[in-house]
Amino acid sequence: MPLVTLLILVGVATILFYSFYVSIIRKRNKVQEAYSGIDVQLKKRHDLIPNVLAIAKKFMTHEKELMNEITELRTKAMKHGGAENAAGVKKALMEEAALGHRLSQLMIGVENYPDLKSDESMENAQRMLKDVEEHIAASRRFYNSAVRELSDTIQIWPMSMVASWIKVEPYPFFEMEESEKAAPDAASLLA
Amino acid sequence: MKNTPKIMEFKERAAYEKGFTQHYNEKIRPALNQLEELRIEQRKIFVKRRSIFIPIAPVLVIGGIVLDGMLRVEEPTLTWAGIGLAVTIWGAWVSAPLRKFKSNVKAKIMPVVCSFFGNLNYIEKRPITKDEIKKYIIFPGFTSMQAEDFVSGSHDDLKLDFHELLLKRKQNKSTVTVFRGIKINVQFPKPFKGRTVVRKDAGRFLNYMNRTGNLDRLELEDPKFEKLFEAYSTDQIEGRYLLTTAFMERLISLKEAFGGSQMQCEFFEDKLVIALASSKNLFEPRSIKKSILDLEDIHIFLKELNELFELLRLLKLNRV
Repeated sequence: MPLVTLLILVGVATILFYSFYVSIIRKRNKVQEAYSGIDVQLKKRHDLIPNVLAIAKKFMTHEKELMNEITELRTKAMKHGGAENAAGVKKALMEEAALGHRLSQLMIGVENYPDLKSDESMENAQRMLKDVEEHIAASRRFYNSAVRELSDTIQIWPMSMVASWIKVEPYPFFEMEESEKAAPDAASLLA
Repeated sequence: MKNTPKIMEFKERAAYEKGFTQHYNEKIRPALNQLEELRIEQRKIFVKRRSIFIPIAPVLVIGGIVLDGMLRVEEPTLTWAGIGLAVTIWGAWVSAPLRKFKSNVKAKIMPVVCSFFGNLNYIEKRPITKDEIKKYIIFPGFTSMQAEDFVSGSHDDLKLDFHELLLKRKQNKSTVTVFRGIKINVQFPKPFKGRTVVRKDAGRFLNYMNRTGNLDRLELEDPKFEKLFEAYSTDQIEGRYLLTTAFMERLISLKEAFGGSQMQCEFFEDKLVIALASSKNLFEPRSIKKSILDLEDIHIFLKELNELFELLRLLKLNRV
């Protein structure tokens, strides 16, 4: 009789462990899927940057340093890998945030060059960039929602115990850049 | 001596009526006497037919009851036949003058009112297939439908069309109304490929029962929105691209402005389709007893159309 009880307990524990394991892995996969969604949109952004810079270079004489910085950040951002682990994702998101910040500074700078602003190719590039940025924002919201779901699961016992055994860590949130939250300060760009 | 009815001057009562006087003077005023004559004529026909119908109807019903009694049948078939015949006579013959008058008023006034609000065309009836409605998830299943008052064109640089819609479903022996209101199609300014649906939150159990096959639930950040609606999409990213935080707030405002009535929407085939449930029959002239010359019907049409555009304005579709 005690053996039967023990077997039942072991059976229940195994089923529970397996269902927790499946739930955690599904949620982690959802985060990775959401991250790959961001990645697709970021690649679109990376592809657009050379065009934007090529058009901007013709008119923007005082922003060379900013443009070089954007080129460097783009090269760096393009090297980041997938979402195999939370640390890699965090690094990639930080690099992308820096690139996004500089890119928005450049776009504000365009306002100071009426010829550039009215240039048809620049208008097209800006429109495409706006669309890509909106898709990045949407992907970020999906990613953050998946991260929140995973975090809520793996931070509460007994899931937290299972998560530490199978080495699943919480992923970082894709925080909104302060510059994106606040209204752009064009004066700081002119300094 | 016959009194010539006096046509009133149009008085602009509200801000949205500003400038309508010119439209009225040019396009409606010349037709008003004719409409009033039609009203008087059709009212006379209606009263005459009604006076014939009033003694006939009880004869039909009582006759059916008596015959059923004489034949000692189990089912009161002839009673039902008598009632059915009375209803048909009322619908097809007695009330025909009312429909003729209303249809003429709408045909003369509504196109002018619509053109005042933009490059809009009006047609009272047009053929519409069930598939035109069935392809949208936001409309419940139905077996019969009626549609009227079709408005299409552009307003505030926004391409749109809308019409009133009544959907009914046969359940056992009875027919129930499953939707009554307005269906609005707006050309959405953002490009999209999939389908995103915003439905009323019906509670956990009903949401689960009404879940849509290939659409995933969108878990969105706005708690107020999540309380009122359930959002689904074929694409998690595209769903959020369309339902931005600002757009969610506007949908909440639209629902609140609509007096808490049911409001659902769907992004599909480049369009935003909005289903606004309403028990009110819009764009209808008042009773045939009331003179058209007091211009009250025109004020009603202007008010109802303006209210609809005010609601759409809440969505700020030119700023998505």
